[in-house]
Amino acid sequence: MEPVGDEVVRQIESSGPIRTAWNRLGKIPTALVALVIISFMVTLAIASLVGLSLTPYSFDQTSTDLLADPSWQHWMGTDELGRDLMTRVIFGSRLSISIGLTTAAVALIMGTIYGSIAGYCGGKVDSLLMRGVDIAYSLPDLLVMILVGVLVGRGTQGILMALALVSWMGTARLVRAQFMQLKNEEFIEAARACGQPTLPMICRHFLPNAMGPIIVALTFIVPSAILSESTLSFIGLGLSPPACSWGTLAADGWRSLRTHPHLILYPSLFIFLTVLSFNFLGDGLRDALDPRTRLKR
Amino acid sequence: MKFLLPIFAVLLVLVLVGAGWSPKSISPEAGCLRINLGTEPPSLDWTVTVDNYSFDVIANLMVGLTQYRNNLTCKPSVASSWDVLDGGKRYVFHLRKDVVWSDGKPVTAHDFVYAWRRMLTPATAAQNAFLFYDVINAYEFNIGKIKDFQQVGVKAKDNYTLEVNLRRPVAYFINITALSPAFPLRQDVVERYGDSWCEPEHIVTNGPFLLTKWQHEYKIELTANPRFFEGQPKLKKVKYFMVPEPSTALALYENGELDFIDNRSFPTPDVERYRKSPEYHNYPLLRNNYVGFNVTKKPFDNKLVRQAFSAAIDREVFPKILRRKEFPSSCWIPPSLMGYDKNSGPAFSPERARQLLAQAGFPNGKGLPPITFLYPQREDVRLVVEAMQDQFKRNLNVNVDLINQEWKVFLATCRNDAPQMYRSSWGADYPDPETFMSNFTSRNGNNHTRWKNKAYDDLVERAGGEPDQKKRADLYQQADTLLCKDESPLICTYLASQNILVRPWVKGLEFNAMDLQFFKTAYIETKGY
Amino acid sequence: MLSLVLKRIVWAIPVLFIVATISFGLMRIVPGGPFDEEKSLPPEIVANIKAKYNLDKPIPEQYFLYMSRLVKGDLGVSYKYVHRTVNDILADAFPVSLQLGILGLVLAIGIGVPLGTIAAVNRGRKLDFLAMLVATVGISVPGFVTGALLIFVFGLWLKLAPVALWESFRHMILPAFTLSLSPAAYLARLTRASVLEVMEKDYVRTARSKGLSSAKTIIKHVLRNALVPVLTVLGPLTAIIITGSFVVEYMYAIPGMGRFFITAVSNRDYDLIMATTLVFAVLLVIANTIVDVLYTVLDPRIQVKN
Repeated sequence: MEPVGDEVVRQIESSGPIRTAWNRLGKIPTALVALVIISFMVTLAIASLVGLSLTPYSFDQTSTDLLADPSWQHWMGTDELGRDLMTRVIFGSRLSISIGLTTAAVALIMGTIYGSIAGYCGGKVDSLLMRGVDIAYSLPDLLVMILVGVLVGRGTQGILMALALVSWMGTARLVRAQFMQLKNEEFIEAARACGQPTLPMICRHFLPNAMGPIIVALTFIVPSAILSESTLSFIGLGLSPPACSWGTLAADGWRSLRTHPHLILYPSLFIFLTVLSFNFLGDGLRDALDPRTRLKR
Repeated sequence: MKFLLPIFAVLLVLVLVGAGWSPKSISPEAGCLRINLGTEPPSLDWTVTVDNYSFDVIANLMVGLTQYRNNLTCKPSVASSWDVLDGGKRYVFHLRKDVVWSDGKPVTAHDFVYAWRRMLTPATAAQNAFLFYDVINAYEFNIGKIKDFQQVGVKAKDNYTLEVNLRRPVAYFINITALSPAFPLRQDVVERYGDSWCEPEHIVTNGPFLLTKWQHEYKIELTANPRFFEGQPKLKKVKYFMVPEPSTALALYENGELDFIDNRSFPTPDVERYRKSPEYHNYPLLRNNYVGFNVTKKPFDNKLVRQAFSAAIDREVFPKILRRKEFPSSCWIPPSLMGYDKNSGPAFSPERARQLLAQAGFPNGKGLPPITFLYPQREDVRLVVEAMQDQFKRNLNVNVDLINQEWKVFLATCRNDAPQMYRSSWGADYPDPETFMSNFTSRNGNNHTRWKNKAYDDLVERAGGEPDQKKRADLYQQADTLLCKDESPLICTYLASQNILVRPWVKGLEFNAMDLQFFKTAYIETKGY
Repeated sequence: MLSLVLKRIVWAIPVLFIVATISFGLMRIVPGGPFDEEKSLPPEIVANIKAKYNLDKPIPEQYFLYMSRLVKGDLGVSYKYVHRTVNDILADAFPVSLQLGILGLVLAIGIGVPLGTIAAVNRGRKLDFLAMLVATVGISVPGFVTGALLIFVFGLWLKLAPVALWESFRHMILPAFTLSLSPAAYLARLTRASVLEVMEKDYVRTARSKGLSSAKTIIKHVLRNALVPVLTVLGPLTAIIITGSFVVEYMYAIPGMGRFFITAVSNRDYDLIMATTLVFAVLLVIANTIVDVLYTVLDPRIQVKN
């Protein structure tokens, strides 16, 4: 992907990048709907986190009403132990959303550190570090996740580490590209000629230019992480109980597709809506940040 | 819109080719039984293998000294009769002269001796060798203390007479002779082909079917053995497919591509759906599930605490949540074996449980250290432990922490340093209470509870050698009561059962409580289907 | 170009070496060993087994032994499938996975590229939105859910395709289709962006203004250049296909490599795990190499001059 061109950079800089992007984003209907859905999911997650109960049940509260179909008492039905599914789905939002966001955050940190070193140092260091990226790309995602998951254990940290380890490369490349480009900017070269330290200047200019593509990249890491977590649960190497996420719920209910479809349909629906929204949001952000895209008036 | 074309083209191709697949009405394949094995059998080497998948195939390839009937008693097979001498310490088997290997050579006593020698040879590292440790010097030979196999108590007196000497009378020894590690082996075949002797082109067998095709990870085909000594089976072929996912196996069955769904291939959510169907069958299974306590760790070093926990569980909940017609049981010996008495185990009583806990010094659960409950990753196990965690909370006001480990890690943990509570199960090696009861003797390597009780050991040892059936049953029942009601180093939960689907055109299929799948009496009825 | 390919291959060797080392290390650190079974063995027997497989030696020595075998092409033996070498196992399984993967890739391209092109050409209109909705949906549903739905709908309900197994070409349809959905969606989105970008370019506008019919323009100029970025993602695409194959092979009972990778990890079947990892790594390196080579050959700046 071509790095954002110079004129474009100046255009963004001149009118305040965030405000412009925001305005433009507002004109993309899918992105708006996506934002609404994401906010809803995040609200559910936060509500669950602070202990606000939105249903009369607790997520681990068993009952004798096993595998009930959706009804007025249980809007999404119950599971094999008589637990209210809706409560569990809401509870699951907390883990799923936080896994998605944390993976993005960790990937951001890892990728930024890695890419900035490679981009700033250049030469042999850069070459070596990029080989590292190649190696990372040579291992299929699931393979790494399975091996790391088995190694670190099935707790949340293990899963997070596994997910982050397969997501940092894209960010690293973006950051590196930015650093390399900035390094060759005229004003940086001038500063170097004068003997001024170039690193702080690069850093100051790095953020506004790189932020756009990086945010877009991060927005796509979130849905990927949520999906990978559910696939890991399906294989049997995901989070272990009592941790309850959409992924574990979907994996648990998978075999009941024909007999008790509510068990898999509702968690999958939530996964689907969240992932879809993040994807649309990413698309929207990318279009909004790229001034060459013509938007509907 | 010329670009719709490629998409339509692709979809059209899909549909056309797919439509070329027009399934006829669901019908059998003449003379062929198609079943799901589940996964690739790790090895068909019957001396060495311990896997259920391998057993299923071997059971139709080979016969041994004796054979199981459907009620799991032993009947003569290669051995037409046997004498039990010296008070049960010596067995002399008289072999039939008409049993032949698939290449025509007769089955002799030497083949048995060779098989047992190979099994007990340390370098073979056979995991089932322990079953034969009652044979004189078998254990010593197996661990390398004795190098000369002539000192081990199994000898071929002549081509058709096999003599086995035991170090003590063993009441259930005949059961062991029906198991696959006791099956005969052809020394020349094994030595000639080494590791690949089980491949279809090399293997030599003596049972109702021959191994004709083995597509690894995919399919095994057996064909009827015309030289089988009981007569050629009616089935021409048996096809084992390897479909790891039960719901896919069920889909194949519903599509008419499999004739038989065994317990492992039957996905739990669908059992209920088929319960009223004439194709559904349910049989008990000799596999008992339990939760073990590590009695060296607090608070389970206190007998009263263990009893309290056991009494706090309402076992009736298990068949409800597991939905596979489990049989709740609080004692260790299964109902179909001698020595079973449902009163050998504690009754469900939350009041008594709380009383016991208070007596132990932890009234209302106060003062208990944190308790870890370990279990292996599996869906049905998860449901069980979550239900038990819930019951401990409700009936005893105690919180236990559930920890889940991957299977291999779980096994290693239990072996090295079992946590306070761990969930486990035991499937019978042979249909006798000994296989269950010996698990909790002091010396047994599977006893991760670390519970050692001399009275229990004595009862089990005596029962193992007792020739009188009634006395034997009584001894086992006493041991069971000591185990489950009195000392309670474990909580027995439920016995598994088999849920099976069989198409109406499959006739003559027989089932037993050990899930041994024998097909020599089966046949496919094509008329009317 | 040859020098580029050679350079790439030379670079690939240390990459593969490091991959082998990493997976070796990972498996040795992981708790639980290949010989932990439900029924305990006397310790003398366990010692025997470990000695047989060199597992009683110190780890650096095991590493050296393994690497020297690897260089000779001997991928080791399986602990679980006692009488088969890893070379044999892979020789059976790899062709199956390859067939499935290639068919899935072809379907993905066959569905994704036209879908993305339609969207780009009808940019801003309903068809664009619809196509992109379909594509985004494709990457938003977990693979095992779509697989289950497809088996049920096409296999059991409509009875259009065989439900599972790998008996004939017909049997490849549903699994390849399931496998192709995620990469198809990914390709559709990418193609759309790429086609749009090319369509904006001056030379295309020039061509159109010259009166060339729109279809011809698109095929001749746009697609050829737009497909370049598509080819550059061959690497990630291969990765997606490989990953997807784990789930698809398991669900459809297909005897490929992905299916037993997971069981091998559960069984701690060291050599099998390492060999499968290496094979996947080799595939990805090859895919990335092809991409690098194609990128140089098809550089659009060279094309424009024509």
